[in-house]
Amino acid sequence: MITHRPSTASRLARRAVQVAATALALLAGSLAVSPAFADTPAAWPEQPHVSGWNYLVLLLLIPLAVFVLVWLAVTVPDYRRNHRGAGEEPWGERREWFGGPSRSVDAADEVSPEELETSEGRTGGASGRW
Amino acid sequence: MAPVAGGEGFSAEDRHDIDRAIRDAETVSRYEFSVFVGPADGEPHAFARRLHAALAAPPRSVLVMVDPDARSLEIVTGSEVRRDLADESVRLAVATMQSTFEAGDLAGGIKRGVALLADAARQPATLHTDEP
Repeated sequence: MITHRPSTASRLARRAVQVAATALALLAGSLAVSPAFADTPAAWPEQPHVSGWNYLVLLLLIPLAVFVLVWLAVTVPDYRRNHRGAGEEPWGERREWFGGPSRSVDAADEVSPEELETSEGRTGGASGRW
Repeated sequence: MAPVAGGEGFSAEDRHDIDRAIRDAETVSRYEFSVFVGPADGEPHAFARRLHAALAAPPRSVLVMVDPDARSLEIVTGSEVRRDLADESVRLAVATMQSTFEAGDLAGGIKRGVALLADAARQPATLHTDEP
């Protein structure tokens, strides 16, 4: 079966006709449609006048204030928890031992040098400063 | 730089959180954890080792010592703990704690460090050990 490929000129002409027909149809459709005009019923009460300032307060300032309040409520306690004490008075002589012996630091004073020497080289760990 | 913690020390919430972090760490790793916060008597490393030796089971214990005023941090691991918790992992925990302390969060740094140590010391589950 032999098929003939259309020439470039005829393809362009066909495409131009398609585009023109589509544009014409859209234009005709848009002209045929008319906007709907509706008004509020006459029995309805007159709407109160709302000024631009009222719009601004209602749509912008109040939401903004609510946003700021929520942001502060979330941020401030976290900030205070994380920065509590920074720059305040030093820790001092207070000692807190979590999970330590009941005798607390006195127990450390009773550790003999022999015990320390025995553990020397067998314990591990690391040190640091900040 | 300014010292980290204020005059009142830890709040009740901080203490509760640190206690819970220690309990969680012990559950995860099956080792004992202890945290000392306060001034060291003498050289910090030697003092930390004395504290560690005073614990109920030093070979199975990890001691974290923080001196907020001297800005020094010492971690001592017992001989048994050391088999699972390498010194390199301890150094990583120290680095994390240092950065948190620098940000002014003493309790947070302790909690984070204890959790990191416990994770690093976690012994891998051994399957089928009870089978003949």
